[in-house]
Amino acid sequence: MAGPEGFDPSLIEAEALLKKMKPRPANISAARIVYEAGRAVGKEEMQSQWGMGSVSNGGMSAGAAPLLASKWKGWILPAWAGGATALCILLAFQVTSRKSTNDDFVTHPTSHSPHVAPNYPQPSQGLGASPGYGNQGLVAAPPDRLVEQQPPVAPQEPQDRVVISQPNSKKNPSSVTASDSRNRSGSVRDGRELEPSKPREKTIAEYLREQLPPLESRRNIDPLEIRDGVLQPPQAGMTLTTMGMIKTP
Amino acid sequence: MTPGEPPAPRRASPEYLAALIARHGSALELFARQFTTSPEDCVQEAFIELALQPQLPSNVLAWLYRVVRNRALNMARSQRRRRKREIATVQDDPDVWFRQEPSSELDAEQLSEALAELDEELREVVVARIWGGLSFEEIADIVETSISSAHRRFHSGLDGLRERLGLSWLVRKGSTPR
Repeated sequence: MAGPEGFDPSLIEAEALLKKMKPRPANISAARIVYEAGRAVGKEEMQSQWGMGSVSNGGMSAGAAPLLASKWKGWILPAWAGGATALCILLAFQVTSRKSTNDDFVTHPTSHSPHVAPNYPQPSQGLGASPGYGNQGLVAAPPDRLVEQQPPVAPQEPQDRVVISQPNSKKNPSSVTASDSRNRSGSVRDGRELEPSKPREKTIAEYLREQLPPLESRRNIDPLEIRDGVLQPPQAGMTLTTMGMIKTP
Repeated sequence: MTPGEPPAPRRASPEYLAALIARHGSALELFARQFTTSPEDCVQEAFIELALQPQLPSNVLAWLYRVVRNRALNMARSQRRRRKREIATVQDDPDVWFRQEPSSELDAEQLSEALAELDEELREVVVARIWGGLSFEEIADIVETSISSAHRRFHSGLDGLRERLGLSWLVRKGSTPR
């Protein structure tokens, strides 16, 4: 074994022989290296500028902006979570409003047959019916479209009228589909309420007239007092005091 | 720097880089090729890093070999991790590392195979010494060993090459081939 460098002559010969073999030429170019180095220098300079905060943005150094953004990332909900939250809120609002609306309706517990006002399109007409909308075959069409495709045979009813369906047979007023102020858009709230139109027999005025107590009793005036002469029947020129309706000490 | 090379400027100018590549690029690639299948990337990244140095190192060539070696070893490790079964290692399927010239006394393919069969620690010293032109002191610094160990590795590697290449006429009398 040779000791110091170049001691063994046979090794020198072998080294010289091997040295004659040239490696494959390098597949690199100085121009490419200079270009890449220039790009790297530009990037480094930009990074150093940002790190030093020399680029200011509204009083906040640009170097601090990424850090701040990363902090805010944890605060802001991701997009899918925001969408899911909005959907949940919408559904909750829809359920609440539907429940309050149904509470206003007069429904019969044994009646499952839907009713509908005659000026509303029938489900079978398929006005934008979407099977995916609650899987009830609801009509989900814009109001203008509904108006356009309403059957011409039904006369337009005043929008503030509540239609109370009366039983054709032994059933009581089972369900009411209203076009009141909550449903002025003309959209149908619940598909279960839809059915081929039934004859209307009472208007809301009639219904209220029946349901409301007599006016006198609501004012705590006993009609018997009038009949017994305690109170003076109203005449022209009389005031409430002279009529006895306002008692003075 | 070996004599005859242009004096090193304070920073690596394009002309200086071009001269370095023309003179040492192929040897650096050969040095990287023994570790990885992408030696060009290692050498190019080393030259880019040299160009980015605010001041050139005192021994540019040794610095380049050290950087190329580190990068090639890192790349080889990641390649082995990523595609352990797909990528054939240099030892398994070496390509031709040398140019075959008419005046060459050795076969380029045979030399590549013989070199690939050597142990890695012997091979890197042989390549750095013969084709890189580095001194044993520089090699010892690069491979992080002593100068005497670098000597021993070089001689052992050379003996192995002689045996594998069938260069019996170069085996001196009394020496035991490995």
